[in-house]
Formats: sequence, structure tokens, C-alpha cells
Amino acid sequence: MKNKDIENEETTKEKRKKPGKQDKISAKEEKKRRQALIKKKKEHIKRVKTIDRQIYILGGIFIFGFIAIAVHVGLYIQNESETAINNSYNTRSKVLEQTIQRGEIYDRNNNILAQTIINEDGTYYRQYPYNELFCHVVGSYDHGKMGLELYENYTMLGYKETLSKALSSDLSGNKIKGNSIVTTLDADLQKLCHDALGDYEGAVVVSNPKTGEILAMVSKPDFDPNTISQNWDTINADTRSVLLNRATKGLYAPGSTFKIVTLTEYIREHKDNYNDYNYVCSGSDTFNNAKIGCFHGEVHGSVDLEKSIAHSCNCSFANMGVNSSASSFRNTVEGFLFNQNLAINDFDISASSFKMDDNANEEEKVQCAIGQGTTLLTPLQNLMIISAVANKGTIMKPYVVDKVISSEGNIVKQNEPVALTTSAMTKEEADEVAKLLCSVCEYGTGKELSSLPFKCAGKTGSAEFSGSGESHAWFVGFAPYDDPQIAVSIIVEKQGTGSKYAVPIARKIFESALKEK
Amino acid sequence: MFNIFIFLSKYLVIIACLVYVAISFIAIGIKKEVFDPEDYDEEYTPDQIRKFNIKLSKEYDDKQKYLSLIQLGLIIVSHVVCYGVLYLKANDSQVLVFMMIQILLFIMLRFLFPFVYTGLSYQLMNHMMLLMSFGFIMIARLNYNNAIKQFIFVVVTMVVSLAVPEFINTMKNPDKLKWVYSAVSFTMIAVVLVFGTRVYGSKNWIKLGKILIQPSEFSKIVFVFAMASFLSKGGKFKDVIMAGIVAAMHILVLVMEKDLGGALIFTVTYIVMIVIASGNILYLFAGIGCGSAASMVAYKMFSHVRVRVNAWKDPWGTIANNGYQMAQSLFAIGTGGWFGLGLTMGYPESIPVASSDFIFASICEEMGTITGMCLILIYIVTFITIMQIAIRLKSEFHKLLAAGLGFMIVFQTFLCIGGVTKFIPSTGVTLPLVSYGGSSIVSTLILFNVIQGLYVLDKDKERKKLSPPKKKGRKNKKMNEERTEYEE
Repeated sequence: MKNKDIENEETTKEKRKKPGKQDKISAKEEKKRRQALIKKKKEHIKRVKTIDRQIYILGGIFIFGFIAIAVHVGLYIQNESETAINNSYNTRSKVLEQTIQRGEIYDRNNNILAQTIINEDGTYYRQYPYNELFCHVVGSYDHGKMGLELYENYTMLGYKETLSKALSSDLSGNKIKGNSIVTTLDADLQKLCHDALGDYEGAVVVSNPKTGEILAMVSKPDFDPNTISQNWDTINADTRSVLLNRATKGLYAPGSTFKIVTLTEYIREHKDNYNDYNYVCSGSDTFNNAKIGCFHGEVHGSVDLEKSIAHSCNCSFANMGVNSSASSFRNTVEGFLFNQNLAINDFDISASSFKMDDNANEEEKVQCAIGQGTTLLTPLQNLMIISAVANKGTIMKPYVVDKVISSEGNIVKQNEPVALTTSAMTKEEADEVAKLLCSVCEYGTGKELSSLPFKCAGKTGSAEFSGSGESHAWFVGFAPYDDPQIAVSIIVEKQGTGSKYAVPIARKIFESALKEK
Repeated sequence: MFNIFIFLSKYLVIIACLVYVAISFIAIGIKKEVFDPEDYDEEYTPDQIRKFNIKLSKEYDDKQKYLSLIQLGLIIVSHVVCYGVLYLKANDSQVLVFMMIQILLFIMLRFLFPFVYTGLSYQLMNHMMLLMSFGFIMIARLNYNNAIKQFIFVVVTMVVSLAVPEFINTMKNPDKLKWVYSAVSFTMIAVVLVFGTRVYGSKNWIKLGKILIQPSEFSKIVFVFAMASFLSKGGKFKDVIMAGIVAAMHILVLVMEKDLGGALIFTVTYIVMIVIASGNILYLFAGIGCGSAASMVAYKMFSHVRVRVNAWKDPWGTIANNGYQMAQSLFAIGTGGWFGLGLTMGYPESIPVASSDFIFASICEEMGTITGMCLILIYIVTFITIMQIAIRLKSEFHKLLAAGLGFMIVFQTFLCIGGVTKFIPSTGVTLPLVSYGGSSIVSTLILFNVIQGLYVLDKDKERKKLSPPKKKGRKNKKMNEERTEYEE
């Protein structure tokens, strides 16, 4: 439009021009020159318009890029930074601790598990009133942080700031008090587990299967976090891996406790007729070169599913394993969260592993079915399996930090139970397996629990290791059977059978924990 | 009292930043009105119209001036507060003296610079000062002596820059100069290949006596001049190819020098400029395609590229070696959180090159991520201001120049902030006007002043247009008309 206007204007100007003295030729030239100029002008305007349009388009793209960065940073701060900064490579805590007093760690009944004491001269140290009792789960402060002291390091150095708080701490010359952590742990139960494990090496984990709350977590051998600096050389030289939290980092063969999974697989593959299962145990059996024997060569005779699990009949489970589909078995095991790094903030967890190819040979299948072979899991993983049985197939995310509170006691952050998977088992499978596991505790390998005033369900295990004939004693179970409140996972290293060494510990835990309720 | 002062300072700076950003967006939103006699029934004489336009133009300038004064006030407030903290921490009155000198510089820039840069863009000036102010604060907090060095560089550059508008004014025939620009720009980066010194793995520094210079920083500006002169004739295919050959030579040398960031900046600037000049968006897709292919090749060929990409993909897994810097940067930003730990209360020293490439993380840690986001917004608004200037300019060459420089600097900012925040792999480029580094600050200031110079020239023409013609002679009037039409 504008170009046209200019053109019109030009032509009218041309018309207005009087010929006067100028001859016609020069007038023509003048006209030509003008027209060329107009053309040039039009082209120029067109090009300028193109340039401007491109600037708008590209500029928009670039601005969008910046907004994307801003959103990215915002999401990082809001969602990821809390976990990210609790890393031992982040050396800021020393700087922060000059102005902030590290918060406390409490158990579920407000007992202090860890606190910072400031001396009169301004120096400070971390004190653990229960000494070695919580050394792995709560962790330690000196000599490289561990446990919650590491994972919640910056949480305890954070504070909900208010002007009055900053003012009062400034005026009094005191440090600002950081947030405290309230855990799901129960100091009495922890003590009981600790004592029950005695001098043995191993681990005990107790949780509420319906929520995933960890009530107690013991790993032995242990150390006193109060004196870790003084005893560092001894602790470090100890070949028993004192610092290792066996409950979450120790990888063991599951032994017979894995029969829970094999049982689940069998029921899954034979939905309609698993009740018809029958096998005649003669104390040992050979499956295509793989020779399997029951414990102490015991002969169980004709067994159905219930008797198989109650007496932990190796031959019968090997039989189930041999006839199972390898891919289906692997899917079932992975449904229990094997072979993956679980994103759990409160612990450092080793991934449990299970290997079975689609064309696995019978020997491998047999070994896997009875929990020997290459399968490895942590006590916490085993707790998650039994929790799935107790909780209708759903595995809740295990957690220790219940909430974060400010120094005035206001809740800064409340953790809610979250499901890790809802499909480890179907409800029917879970109910059936639970019923079968109940028989273990009534008359089977865990019958020591039958005298308790409530029904229990569980599975013992004796996991052979390093082919020496020695075994770790396992027990996983839950109680009461009708309304599961407590799930336990117990391993006693290098002692022998689960019935003899692990079940008594479970009995003490069930007895004490359920008596109060 | 120190804690309470830091506590208050943190929030004061955040508030100052937020208000500043708000004002900046208001300022770019103000439209410059032009009197159009067709909107009215009455007849107006050209003289009247001119008078109205002068009045409108003055109103616009006054509004801008008024807003810019508030902005300057905010810059000074936040500067004084932050240097107050640094003073309390160091307990050295030298810090206060340094602060006064810096504020004096800001005030002089604001009130004396316009005498040479008549009618400069106050917005651009303010953004420049605000970004420099954050640089001075953070650099001084990390290393006081570096801040003094940086300050001297700024003063010298600003004085030298007074010649820039005159310089641009004299360069009216870009077409003849395109090979000169190309040669100068190429020599600057190629000379490093021969005489270069290796710093942080990139061989793009040259040692002159005691000073380390990064010629590629300066080459950038000349490169845009070269590209603009190639493309100012409508960006025909032939010119695009010619410019492409020149650009490719630059990029190849930069790749040989292992200057990843530099190579990327040159590539993107070239692509953006050909798209703008030709109006053919297909070049953009072609450019992205070629760029992606080249990146893949670079990833396969060069171990230093793989190192950076892997550190970006998983900084936590590689934290013990290659991912260390990335992880420290994320720690800094994460620990600082939205509001920051307070100036001097964090530990930005733990980030390698905290005061240059990673200064954004240092600022986020101590002054808060909100402040960091305000900085991002200020870069956006600076970019928009430059683009507004480019759109206002009439000559194609000047338009391309301003746009090219603007896109170049904003892309560098994108690479820097994106790299620090793990949005993209880190490429080791500086944050314009904030990062510590002589070559970086000097070249960026020159770049901004070139844009200011272009704007000033444009305003100059406008003023001439509005001023009444001196002689009413026919010839003169005709010429005047011609020009007016041409510039519409």
C-alpha cells in the first residue's frame, strides 16, 4: 500500500512539473532515473521487511531457548536439588556449619538419635546418645558422613528463615538452628533387634509392610559413631567391613527364602490347577545331571504345595523350577524389583541381581528355583518381597525419614508412603502365597513361631555360600497373618539353618512389637 | 550484626532486581508514537506536523530518561548493599573507596557518555551497567584484585569506545570492505594457531608480554562486519556461499584450536545472518541439519568433546574426574536455592573457574536463583532492545550488523548459562559483561558500543529529518523529500 502511495505521489509530481526550458529528452531521462530509484526503493523496502520478519521469528526462537533454561533451573531447584546436593563431593556443609547449628535426628517417639553439642568455646561435635545402636542407618558425622547424616546432610543445615529468627540469633550471638529429622525408627525395637542378633554378624530389618516405614535396621558388626575418629584405624583395618550397612548393601544368596518367588511363579503359571500339584520326594533327585538333595537328606514323601513350602523341600521346588518357563520366571523376579537401581533417598542400596536367559539350561533353572546359583539380594530386598506378600502384591517404598521439622517444631516436609510397584503379585497370588507361608510357621521349618498368640507367616532359609557347606541363616516373615503389622528380614551370617538362628530373633521381634499393640 | 545485614541484603538485592526487570519490560513496551495527519480531519501544514513529531519524540525520550534514572538508582542501591557486605567481611576501607569509584563510573557513563553518543539507548546502557555491576560484585567477592583489573579494563574500553560512532559513520561502503573484514577477522584467530598458548585445554590464547589475550573474542565483532557486508545485498545465493566459505574457514581454525564454544558461536551467527538477510527459513533447517551432523562427527572424532558430553549426561557418575565441574556448579545452584546463601556465606570457590565461565552458578549460590533468573530476563530484555534497534535502523548493512551482533552475544549467553545449569553440555564460554576476563569484557563492551553507535547514527538522521530545512530552495527541498521518502 505504502509503495503505491509513493508511486502515486511521484507521478503527480511528474505531472506538476512544467516542461519549461528543459527539452523532452532530458525529461525522459529524468523520468527513467526516477523510476529506477522508485524500483530500487521498493526493493529496499521489501528486503527490509524480510529482515525485520526474520528478526522477529529467530528472536522468538532464541527467547524461547532462554525461557527453557529458566524453567529447567526452576525445576532443578524445586525437585532435584535436595537430593543432588547431599553428595559427599559437595563440600559446602563446613561453610554452612559456621553459622548454622546442625539439626537433630529423632526416632518415632522423640528420642534423640543424633545431636550437635556446642562447647563454650564455640567448637562443636556430633553426639549419638545410643552409641553404636544406630550407627549404620542414622550413620556418622566424622570421617566422611554416612547414613542419614549424609543423605539428609543439607536438610539439617537448612532452616525456615524468618526475620525475627535471624535477628534473635544475631543478637544473642548463637548459631541459627537447622531443621531436625524425625525418623520412622523405634529405639526400643532397634535395641531389641540389636540384642537379639547378639554377637553374630548379619542384619535385621523391620518394617510396616503397609506403609514401607522402617522401624528398625541393624547391621553387625557395628561401631560407635561417637568415637569413629579415635578408632578410625582399627575400624578401617577390620576385615569384616564394619562400616558396611549389610541391610541395604550386603548381597547374599537368598537360599530357601527365594522359594516364595518360585512359588509365586508356579501359581502364576498354573492359575487353575496349582492345588493339584504333587511330587514325591525321596530325599534327592536328579534333573538332567543336576543333583538336588533336601536338607540333611530328609525324605518328605508325597508333597503338595503346602507341604513343599512348609518343609522347604528342595527336590519339589527344583521340580517346579525345571518345568517353568525361563522368560516368565525372569519377569516374575523382575516384578519384585530385581536387576534395577531403586531410587530410594534414605539409603544407599545395592541392586539385587537375578540372571536367567530364555534358553537357560535345567541346572540353572534348578539352582535359581531353590535360591542358590547366581541370584543375589540384600536383606532389604528380601523384606520387600515378603512385604509384597503381606500387602496384597504391592511393594511400598522403604523409608526412614518421616518428616522434617523446624527448630520451633513446625513441619517443614512430611513424607507420605509411596508404592514402588503395585504389581509384584496379584491380590489372589499374594493371598495364596501368604496362606501357604502360614503353614511354615504352624508346623514347618518355622514352627517355633506357632506358640505365639497370633498367627505368623514366613519362610526360613539356609543359604550356602562359597561352596564350603557353611550357610547363612535367613528368615523373612510377617505377623499377624490376618492383618499384617510387622514384616521382618533377618540374616545371620555363617551360622547354619534359619530355623535355629533366625527364627528365634523373629519370635522376639514379633512378641515384643505386637504385644504393645 | 553481620548476619542480619547479609539477611537483609539478600532480599534487598532480589527486590531491586525484580523491580529493575519490571521497569525494563515496561520500557521496551513503550511505543514511539508518530503523528499521522490522516487520523485527523483538520489540515496540518508540514511545519505543524514536524512540530508535533518533535513533541512526541521528546515525550518518548523523556519517558525513557525517567525510567532509566530509576533503573540507575536500583543498580546503585544493589551495588552499594553488596559492596557493604564485602566491606563488612573484609573490614577494609579500600573496598568502600573502590565502590565509590565504580559508582562514579556508572554515573559518568550515564551522564557524560551521551555527549558523544548523542541520544543513545538508555535501556541498553543500563543493562550493560547492571550486568557489569553483578560482575564487579561477584569477582570482588571471589578475588578482590581481579575486580580491580576488570574495572580498569572497563574504564579503558569505554574511553576508547568514544571513537566508535565516528568510526561507524565513516564506513559507508561495506561492499568494498568485505574482504578486508574477512581477512582481518581470519588473521586474528589464525595467528593463534601459530603463536598460541594453551589454557584450559583450548589453544586460543596469545601471550603479549604478561597479558593473555584471546583474539577470537575480538575476531567475533569483525566477523559480523564481514558477514553483514557480504549479505547486505539481499542475501543472494552467491553471497551466502561466499560468506559461507569465509565462515567455514573461521570455524575450521577454531575447531583445530579446540575452541568448541567459539566454533559454535561463529556457526550460529553465520546461520542466523543468512536466514535474516535472505528471508529464507530453509537455511535455518539446513544449518541445523549440517550443525547436527558436524556435532556427531566432532563427538566421534574428538575426545574432549566426548568428555564434555559425558560430563553433561551424567555428572554424578563422573564426579571424581570429568563431571567434577558440572557437579560443583549444580551443588552451588542447588545449595543456594531460590534465595541464595547470602553474599560471602557460600562456597563458590569450590567451582573451577568460578569467576569466569561459571560465574552464573556463583551468583545463584550466594545471591539466589531468583537473582539468577532475573539476570536471564535482563539478557532477554537486552536482546529485545538490540533487536528493536536493528528493526529501527534503515540501512540493510546496519540492520544486519546490529542483528548479527545481538544474536551472537545472546547465543553466547545461552551457551554459558545453559552449560552451567546442565541444560546443554558445557562449552566453556564466558557470560557477557559479567564474567571475569580481559578479552571477554573488552570485546563485549566494544560490541555493545557498536550497537549504540548504530543507534546514535540513526537518531542523528531522524533529528535532521525533524529539523526544519535551512534553505527553501527547490533543489534542497527536493533532496529533502527524496531522503524522507527513501527512509520511510
